[in-house]
Amino acid sequence: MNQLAEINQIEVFSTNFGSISHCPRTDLLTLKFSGKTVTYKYPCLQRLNKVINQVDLAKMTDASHSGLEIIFLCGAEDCFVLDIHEILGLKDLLHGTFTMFNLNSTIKDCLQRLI
Amino acid sequence: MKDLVRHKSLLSTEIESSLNQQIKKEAHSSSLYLAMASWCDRNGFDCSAQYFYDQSEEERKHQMKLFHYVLDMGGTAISPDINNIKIEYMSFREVFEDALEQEIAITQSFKNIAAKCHKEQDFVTLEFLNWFFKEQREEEFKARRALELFDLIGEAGTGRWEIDRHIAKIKYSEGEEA
Ligand SMILES: [Fe+2]
Ligand SMILES: [Fe+2]
Repeated sequence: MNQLAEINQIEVFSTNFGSISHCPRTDLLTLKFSGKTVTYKYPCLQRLNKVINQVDLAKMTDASHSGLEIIFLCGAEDCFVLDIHEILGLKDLLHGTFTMFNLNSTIKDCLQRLI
Repeated sequence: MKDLVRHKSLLSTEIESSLNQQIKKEAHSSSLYLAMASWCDRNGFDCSAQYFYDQSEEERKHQMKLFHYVLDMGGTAISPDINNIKIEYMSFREVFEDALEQEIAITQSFKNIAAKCHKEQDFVTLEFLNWFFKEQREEEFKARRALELFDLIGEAGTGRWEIDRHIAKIKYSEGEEA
């Protein structure tokens, strides 16, 4: 990523665990989490959110479970190997991000579209 | 920031998910009717078999209508997997009782989606659903009419043979001609 694009990134949401930012020029979303930086298109991030929400957390705490979950998205190059704390952290980050997306949509409606 | 949510799709996550569930229900209907056609075919009820083959095709069309709508509005249409379809029926009448029950379930399900659309003011989807409401008028009428034939004609003697022949003639005219 060049410096100019980096400057133009808009942070959508961040926590102690990581952040998600949006590039207005390409519409790509950059997820920084657990030492990784991955770039997604919007629908791909939606899929990630869905997959993370479907992880069976109770099962992960089971003695017979490795305690790690492999998050693999079709259409994306990378995968995540996460423990339960990281799953919770990512869940939090994504939840906040989509809340911001929806809030932004509502604000656009109120301030620009419905006046 | 750009409105990524709205730029991507007209449908909210909830409505998209409801429509995908409905896609699955229509696919389920199509499979059910095909199973009913199979049972009727095996048991010598040729007209009823044809009636259910046609119904099965119709349900597939309903499924595809919803499928394309979801995609056209920017959503993700999900191809459903259908299993556990009944193979055997206790009686000729039971086939039609199940058919009516299925249509009622479909109508109720559409009402549910429409209620959700109202709640979030998705009038675009609401208008799209109107076609299905009109269709359900016909679907419930036909299913109810078929069951009426069992009472009118009676199953004794050659009754079931007679009922089968009349099934082919069931039509819904919306009270226009008649
Ligand atoms: Fe249908
Ligand atoms: Fe139907």
